[in-house]
Amino acid sequence: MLAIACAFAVGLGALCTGQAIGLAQAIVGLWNGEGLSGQAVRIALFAICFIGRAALSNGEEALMDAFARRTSKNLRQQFLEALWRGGPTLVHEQGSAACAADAVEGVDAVEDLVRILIPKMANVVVIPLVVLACLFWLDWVSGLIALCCYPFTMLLMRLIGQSAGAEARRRYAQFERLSASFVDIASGVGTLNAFGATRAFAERIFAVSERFRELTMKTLRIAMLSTTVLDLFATLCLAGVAIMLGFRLVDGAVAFFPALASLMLVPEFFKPIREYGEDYHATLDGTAALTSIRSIVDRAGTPAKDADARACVSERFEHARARVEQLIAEPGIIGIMGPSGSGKTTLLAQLAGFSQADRMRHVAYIPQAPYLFRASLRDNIAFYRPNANEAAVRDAIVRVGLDGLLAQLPEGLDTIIGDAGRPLSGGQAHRVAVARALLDPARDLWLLDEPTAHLDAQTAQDLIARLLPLMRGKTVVVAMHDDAWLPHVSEVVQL
Amino acid sequence: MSRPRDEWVRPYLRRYGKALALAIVLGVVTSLFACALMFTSGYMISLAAAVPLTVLALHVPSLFVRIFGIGKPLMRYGERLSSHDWVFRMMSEMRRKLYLVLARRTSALGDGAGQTTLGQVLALLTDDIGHVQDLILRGALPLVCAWLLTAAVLAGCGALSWQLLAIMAATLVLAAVVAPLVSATASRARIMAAANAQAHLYDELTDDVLGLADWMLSGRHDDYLHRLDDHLRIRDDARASVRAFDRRLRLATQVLFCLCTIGVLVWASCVFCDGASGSSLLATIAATGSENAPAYPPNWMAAFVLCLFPLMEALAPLPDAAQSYIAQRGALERLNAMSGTPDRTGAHDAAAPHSPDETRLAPRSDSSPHEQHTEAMLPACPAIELRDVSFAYDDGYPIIEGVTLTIPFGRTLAIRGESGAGKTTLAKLIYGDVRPSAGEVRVGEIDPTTLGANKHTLIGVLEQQPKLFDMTLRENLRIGKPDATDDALRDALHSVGLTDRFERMPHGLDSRIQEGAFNLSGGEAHRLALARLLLADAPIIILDEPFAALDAATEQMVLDTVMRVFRGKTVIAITHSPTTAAAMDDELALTYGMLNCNP
Repeated sequence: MLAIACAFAVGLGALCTGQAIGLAQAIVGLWNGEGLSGQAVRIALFAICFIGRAALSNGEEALMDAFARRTSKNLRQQFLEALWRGGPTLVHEQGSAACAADAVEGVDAVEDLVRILIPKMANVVVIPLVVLACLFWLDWVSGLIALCCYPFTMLLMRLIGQSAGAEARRRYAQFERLSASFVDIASGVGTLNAFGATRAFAERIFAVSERFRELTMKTLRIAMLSTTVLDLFATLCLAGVAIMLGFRLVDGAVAFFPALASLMLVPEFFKPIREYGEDYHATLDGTAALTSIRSIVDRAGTPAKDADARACVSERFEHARARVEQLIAEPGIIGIMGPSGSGKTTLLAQLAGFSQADRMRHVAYIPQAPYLFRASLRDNIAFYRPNANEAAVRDAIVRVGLDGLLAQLPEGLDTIIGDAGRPLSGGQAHRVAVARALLDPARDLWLLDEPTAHLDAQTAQDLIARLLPLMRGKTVVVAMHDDAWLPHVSEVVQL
Repeated sequence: MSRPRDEWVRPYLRRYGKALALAIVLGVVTSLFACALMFTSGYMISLAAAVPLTVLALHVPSLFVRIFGIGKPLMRYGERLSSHDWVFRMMSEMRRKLYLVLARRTSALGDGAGQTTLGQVLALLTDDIGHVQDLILRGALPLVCAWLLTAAVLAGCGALSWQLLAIMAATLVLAAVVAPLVSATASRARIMAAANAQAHLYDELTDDVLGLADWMLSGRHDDYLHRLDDHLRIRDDARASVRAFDRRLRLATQVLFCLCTIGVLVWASCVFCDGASGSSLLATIAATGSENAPAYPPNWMAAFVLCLFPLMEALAPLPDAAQSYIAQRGALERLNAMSGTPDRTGAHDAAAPHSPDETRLAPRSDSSPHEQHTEAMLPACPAIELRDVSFAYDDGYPIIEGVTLTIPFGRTLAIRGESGAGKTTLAKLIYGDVRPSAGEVRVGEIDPTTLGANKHTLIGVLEQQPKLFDMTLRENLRIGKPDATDDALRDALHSVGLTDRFERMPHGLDSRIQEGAFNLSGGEAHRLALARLLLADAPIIILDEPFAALDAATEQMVLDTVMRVFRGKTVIAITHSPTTAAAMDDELALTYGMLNCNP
């Protein structure tokens, strides 16, 4: 891609010298009093080069757009794949908001980076060389002035760019913290209202945001300083060339045409560098996003650490876990008992085998508050078996006792539930999860996390009575918080 | 077109008007300096090429070359910094305001219906607030600067010659006004389609990330990887076609600039070489000369032609600016639509700011002069009275019908009933979240919907799923009482039986609570929330199915704590649990809006 971009840059450089030469010749001709009609060819050269240049850079952009789109598509796939490998642990570590932001805006920033950076990098190297060659041919002194400025601008740009880059990386981390803390506070707004603390936290958001502003301005002061220095060099170089040309014209050391053409070419010499500098701090976002995405992709490659170190160090926990692993080889209902916070949920998550792909296909994990997708009731229930037919889905709904709900839904199975859809009660969400497990006969290891916790004694008994026949022939592990399940379990493991 | 008045940008434009004016002036002057630099340079070398001439003649033009050469980048630096700083200040204000608007629309008691979802918050944060920044920096500011520049240039041209004015007016109006308008109108639909698909992408991705465990268990790896493809294709196709249109427009603009350059060249050659007539000012310029440099009108030709190039460079990005203006204006409209919707009670809640000045009130709202009831006026021992209260949601189906009830101060009461029987609605009526459709509710002789930001000093709530924040333990507890000492915090933790749990943590009160209370079990999160409520010390406490996640032993323990610590206060518990209900003085059973009292 870079080679293609370089070829385009050679063309662009040639056209911009042609444009300058044509126009300068026309002006000099008129200035000498040759009359307008004599300048038609020169003016035509200028026009062809001027328009050809615009057309050529359009073609290059079209090419780069397509390339950047392919690149970002691949990167997004890689990122999603990494989340799949890393599992819920990785998502919790990164924060769900940050993961979603990386996958949408992060990848977009990388796409912009590819689209903008490659052609500009080629331009910044090639076009000045072509222009410089032409300058030396026209007037070697102007060429020399431009040549002397070039390494200085590059050096300065690099120095300033590096410090700005470091600042921007820090800023990106801060931005992620800012959005995480904003979402955190916003999602707790009901609680804050209840404590009358809304204003205090609004001030907190303001303060975080102001810190972010100060940090950003610090970065920008440096990043924009680099463009300013570049600009200053470019304009000073132009001024220098103009003044040198003026004095040498007076001496008769140079003719008017090469002088005028040189004057027109000097801005073209610096233009690609300036454009690169202007987009440089915009591309920093892309680089920072790329770093963040890469780190997640790499992290997903390494084996996951155990989520809860506290539970792992406990010998008792390991013992209980080994015992359950042994018991689940046979069908039956196994209870896990222990006080709040003893690690029942952690144990279930480990049993679900988020690090063992072969087991996951057989597991139905039904947490206390199951997650419902922003999708139809049908899709939510058929989640493990998306091609299940309607009769099977309806059957599962009847068996978990959701037929009453279904009758109330205006659009039946196609009603959207989940976040922003029709709200379901905790009990209904739980039944959706059970129906989901029930629909897929391959799911023979059921993990239930305190299924009766929300319920009073009578409702709990009803639920157990309804669940028991559904569990026949399956291996079921139930985390229990009270005695309601005790009569029905074949084995109890204490935590 | 009648749109709601903009509440998000306009007020700040006025407040930060000076900074804005500075940014615009600097922007225009930068472009003028760039043109002036090329103008003087072109004149200078033409002058130098004309013989006979002495070096002294170059003194004045070369001085101007240096002034414009150094001045332009400095102006530009100043312009960029001042505009960014201005916009970022505005962003901070807007984030605070967005938060207060969210607060107005949300309640602690609730079923989640009508509340803002996580995906929407993210969209508001990244897409909307963040993009209002682009609306100004990349859209509005460059357009305004370019129009002012155009006006200045045309005024100058008009003073010189009507032919030049005609050429320049045609070019500049096409490039600075028509091209941006065409670009904006033609791309509007596609930009909207892309933004729409982008919002879908965010929603679906948030869904995927939160439901990742289920995706993994389902084993539907390929579905997971490719289900976003459609939205992505729609979005990327729309973006690609916008960019393709841009490229064509840019080519057209370049052709226009080419014609303009040739036009100015022809005009200059007619005026300066062939001596065609112009205004008196033009004649003066053409005749300018001195003993060092005798007047030679063709010297001006290069100056006029060369100064077109920086002008073109300044106008070229305008179609992009117009597009980002169009693209981001949607964000502003969404923000305005959101702040325009009525709040929960329909009453003018004092927590709702309507001008930016109001948002600058003292951090704690207790001292707000807007409150209908100051803290001193609130009763210390409020009784709760419901007189023939009915309530129905908008669809008309009555949830509560004709309930009359008095809860003397200090009584404890359990509200029981099946799902949908109206337990939460009854609590919301007492809490003042909703207004009864008939009858009246009084808490200590006050209508609770008028309590505003002082509500928390009268009524405390323990929610079904208590929210703990991603902050330190101390900060989480101090939400209940901002000035609580560490000892008070430890006492509260001790009361709810969490002392052991937090003594094991290495940082004590400085330990961080992670997102979604991931490092706490359900029971611990509830107990922590209870500790926070203890610190807040309101005379009336509403418990919204509080102990559902606790095992029986812990429930009993925490319940004992609740009864001990809240002794003497009014406690209203919405509960399924017979244990909790038995611990209360009275029990109310609700069956579909009707009351059955079993004292």
